[in-house]
Amino acid sequence: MITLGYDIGTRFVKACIVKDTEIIGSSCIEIGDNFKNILKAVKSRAMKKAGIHCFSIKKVVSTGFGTSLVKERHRKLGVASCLACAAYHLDKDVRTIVDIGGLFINVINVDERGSVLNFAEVEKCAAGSGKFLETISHAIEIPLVAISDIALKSQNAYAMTSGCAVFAESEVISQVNTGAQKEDILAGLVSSIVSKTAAMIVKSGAKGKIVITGGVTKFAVFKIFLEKELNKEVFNLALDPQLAAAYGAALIPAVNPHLLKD
Amino acid sequence: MLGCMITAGCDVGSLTAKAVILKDNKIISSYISGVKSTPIASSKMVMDEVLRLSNLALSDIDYICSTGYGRYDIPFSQMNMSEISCHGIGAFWVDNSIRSIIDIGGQDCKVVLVDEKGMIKNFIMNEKCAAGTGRCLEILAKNIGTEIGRLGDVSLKARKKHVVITNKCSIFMELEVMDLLYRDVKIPEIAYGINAAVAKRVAAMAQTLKIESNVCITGGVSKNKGVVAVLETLLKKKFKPLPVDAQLMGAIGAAVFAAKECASRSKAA
Repeated sequence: MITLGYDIGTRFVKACIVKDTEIIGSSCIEIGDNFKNILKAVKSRAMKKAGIHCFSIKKVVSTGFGTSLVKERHRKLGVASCLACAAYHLDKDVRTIVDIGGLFINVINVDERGSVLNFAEVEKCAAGSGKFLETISHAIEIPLVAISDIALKSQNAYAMTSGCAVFAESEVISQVNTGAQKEDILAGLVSSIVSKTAAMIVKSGAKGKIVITGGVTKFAVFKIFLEKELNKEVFNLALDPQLAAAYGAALIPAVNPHLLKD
Repeated sequence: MLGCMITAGCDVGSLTAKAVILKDNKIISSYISGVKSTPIASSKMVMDEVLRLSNLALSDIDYICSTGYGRYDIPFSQMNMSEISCHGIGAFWVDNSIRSIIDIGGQDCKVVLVDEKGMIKNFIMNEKCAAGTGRCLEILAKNIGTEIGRLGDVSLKARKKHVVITNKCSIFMELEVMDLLYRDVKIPEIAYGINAAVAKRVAAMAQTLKIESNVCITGGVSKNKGVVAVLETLLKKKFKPLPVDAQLMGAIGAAVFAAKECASRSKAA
């Protein structure tokens, strides 16, 4: 069976085409002005990579913040179920999934059969999100791909005084103007996201193996800082972390069809 | 009491800098401009401009007081006062029936209560979160392709006032605005929702103090008619119209403090 999973995130739209639990095509496009075109493009690119036609797709499942914007015939599912499905399918030992995306941090605990036990989400304030990282690195003119290497050079992380992502931007600009090192600012920034995430993990009562997913975890520095903060090893899944939720959505009809029953 | 002297007030905020010159208790010139890279550069620019406008040299000014977020760095000022005091005394100087001032600036928002002498009775301030400040309006206006200066007028064109932005964080509001755009909601209606969201944040803070009926609104956001209209409805109060540009209030207050200081010094001498 060929299935399609969408993850309509706050910063990127992801599509993943799965055949018998294997990814055969995927794509990821940044959110922009024309959502309809983006959605169309993300699907056609994934289909092109998979080398299939539209009519081969048997089921469509969507998840993520903007799932209600998907107009084609599909089923909707919460991001916690999709992430749990993807993570458990790839690694049966997983007990906690930590997802750091564009604006939200999710912590999901699953039992030994992969069912969701509980999940927590940050949703009130953007301090400590991917967007925060993006805004600041843009303000101090560091390309996203260089974040990890530069942040890891820091010997003395800068402690941000603004709690607000908007004000932090002006704070770092004036810090750079008065001679602060960019690596120290980036390291401070990653630390602030990591400490927020770690607090959520501890509060959720996570006990077993932890995996990290979501676009922000593409930066190696994040995993290194999180391990230090938790004093415990955390793991990546064997796929692009940004695709995890879309992959889970596509897997559900084959692996967990009961979740789609009303 | 404040006669025969020339004083200046310089207010360097987070997004704009303002300067005012007072002569014999009257405003003779004023200037507002966007900030430069440092508070010193911003203050020099606006000060040079007000001096030019009034045909004076820096040495003609008897006393200068600075205020605003950059007030400690101003090289030519002899004293500085907090924005709270300056907005309080400034509004009172302009209209001595004023007892409450709501100031919405670029990166903060405050409510100041003054007594019948213009002295601060109580105040409350938000400078921790961008929601409820000019900065939030600026970000959201950009999202709908409108200049911040036009956001008020655009919102007044809204036929329906149904857009409610529920998030409290500016960045999350940005996401909600994008979602509204995707759903083809009309720009004036979104603009109304944006102004209402900011007004709601300010009202929630203002309502923790006992606002008196002689209330005025100052700061850059006071020029946004949309925010002002919603705020008046939420607080069930009408703002008193002021005879001067309300964005200048901090600078006016600083110039008034400079005049008071100067008068008490000459009396002592």
